Amino acid sequence: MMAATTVDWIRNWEEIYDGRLKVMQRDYSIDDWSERAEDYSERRKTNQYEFGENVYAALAGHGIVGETFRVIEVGSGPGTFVIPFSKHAEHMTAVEPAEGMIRVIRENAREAGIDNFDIINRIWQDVSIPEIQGKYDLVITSTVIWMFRDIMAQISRMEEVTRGHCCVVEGIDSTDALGKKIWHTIMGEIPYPPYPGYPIVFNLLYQNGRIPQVRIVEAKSRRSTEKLMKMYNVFYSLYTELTPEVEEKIHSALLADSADGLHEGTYRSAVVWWDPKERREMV
Amino acid sequence: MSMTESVDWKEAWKESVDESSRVSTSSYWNSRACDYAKMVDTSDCDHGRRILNLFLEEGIIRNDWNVLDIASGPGALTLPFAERVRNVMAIEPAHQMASCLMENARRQGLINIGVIPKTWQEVKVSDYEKQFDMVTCCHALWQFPDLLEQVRRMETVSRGYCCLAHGVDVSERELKKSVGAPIEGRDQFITLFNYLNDEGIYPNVNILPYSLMWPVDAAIASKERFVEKYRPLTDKDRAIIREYIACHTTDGIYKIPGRMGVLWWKVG
Repeated sequence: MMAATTVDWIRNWEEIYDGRLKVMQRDYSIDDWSERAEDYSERRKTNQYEFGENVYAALAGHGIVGETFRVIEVGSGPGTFVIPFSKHAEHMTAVEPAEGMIRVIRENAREAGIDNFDIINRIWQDVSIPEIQGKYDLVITSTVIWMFRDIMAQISRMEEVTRGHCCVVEGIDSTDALGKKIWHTIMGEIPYPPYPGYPIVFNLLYQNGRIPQVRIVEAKSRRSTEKLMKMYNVFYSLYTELTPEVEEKIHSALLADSADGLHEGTYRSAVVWWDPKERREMV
Repeated sequence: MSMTESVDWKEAWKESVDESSRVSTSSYWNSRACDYAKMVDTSDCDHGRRILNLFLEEGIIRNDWNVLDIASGPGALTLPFAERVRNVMAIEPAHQMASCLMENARRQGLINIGVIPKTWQEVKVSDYEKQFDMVTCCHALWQFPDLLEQVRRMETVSRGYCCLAHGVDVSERELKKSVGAPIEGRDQFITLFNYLNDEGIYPNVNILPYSLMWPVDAAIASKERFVEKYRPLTDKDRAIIREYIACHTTDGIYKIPGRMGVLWWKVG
């Protein structure tokens, strides 16, 4: 048993990252995210972008974002924040490497009548910081940073591009009961691969001198069972051979948990923000 | 899988507060009532006001609320809340503290404050089930080695919110070192945070700045009582304390800036 004082959260983060790769047959590629664009978009559009709107409201309530703000998002996916934030803020920049996701962002923006955004078509690690240093009022990212092994280096890069705040949004029930059940049906005794998220990111920031604040938000997710099936297929193709038998296991578990071809759930997320200029006195 | 499961946060919390809960008896707090009350008065209830302001900004405080303030002391939180809500019930077992609270209330013309002269552990929660809109416990959690049980009891009496506040980082570290008093080896706030998360309580978190301000005589008395928690006071201690306080005093006021972590959530 580790004593609390001995936890090195950066090391802990790296161990979780390495542990996940050990269980995987191969890591995610950018094409996997293009493949995921449709189902991800459907999820995030639930109740007119309820998730993104709730995150916006939590931040706006504290003056972290507002109508004169320029916002940059690291790993925008299908426009989870691009669409709702663009409606309220002055400008939004999406950093997104997957072509499939970019196509969906553009479609969703057209549908919502939004054009005050631009897209940097790269992975975050390849974005040149000096070109955009201090140009934004808020840098935000959601369920992306688990892909960064050098976590504090990437967080420092995010801090450099904002003259205001940084924000990380992470699910707190991302490994739900259904996900775990399907995993054990397919993978047997192999433990469910951990993804570093919340509350580990809070510990990481706090241990490294930041002063993070948190709001817990709740949002519904509604997807067609068919699209959710596609998500699970992509996921399991990274961990095992996607045989018809595996697909059948996924299919029957999802059907049992769906109604009228739709799968619904309510998920909580932690909205964690901090001012990079502020540091707490280190003990 | 919990990302923090390699640490037994429950045990870490218990170890961290065991010593302070053993030495901080009601009689200790009776001896501290006078200096602590002066501090709260000089600070104009700074930490309680900042917590109140947080909830005013959140727009959740209503004037028909009943609030329960556990371990109220002389009223740093009770008094500012009482200015805004219908009623505040204070749990305060140290009778000197309770008299200071009621005297402060009288001076401010507040007639909506009551006191239950017990420790929180002694309060029968079934008598108060869902009676309060917010339950607060500020800078007093070190009394609870069995924290989760006490937090669940707070949830039992709340129909709205629970709010816990705890100091972040160690204050007066140099002084504690000089007089040989224990310096909290663990950051209790982060232990508290992880413990609650591990138990499935995901609070909102605000880390707020605040200042504790003492008139010099009250500051000296508070540090002397603090040393006496552990051992009899010596002349050397007296000298160290006076010198330390003099170094941190401006215009007769000893001021310690600090931060507190406020953890709060809606009760399901």
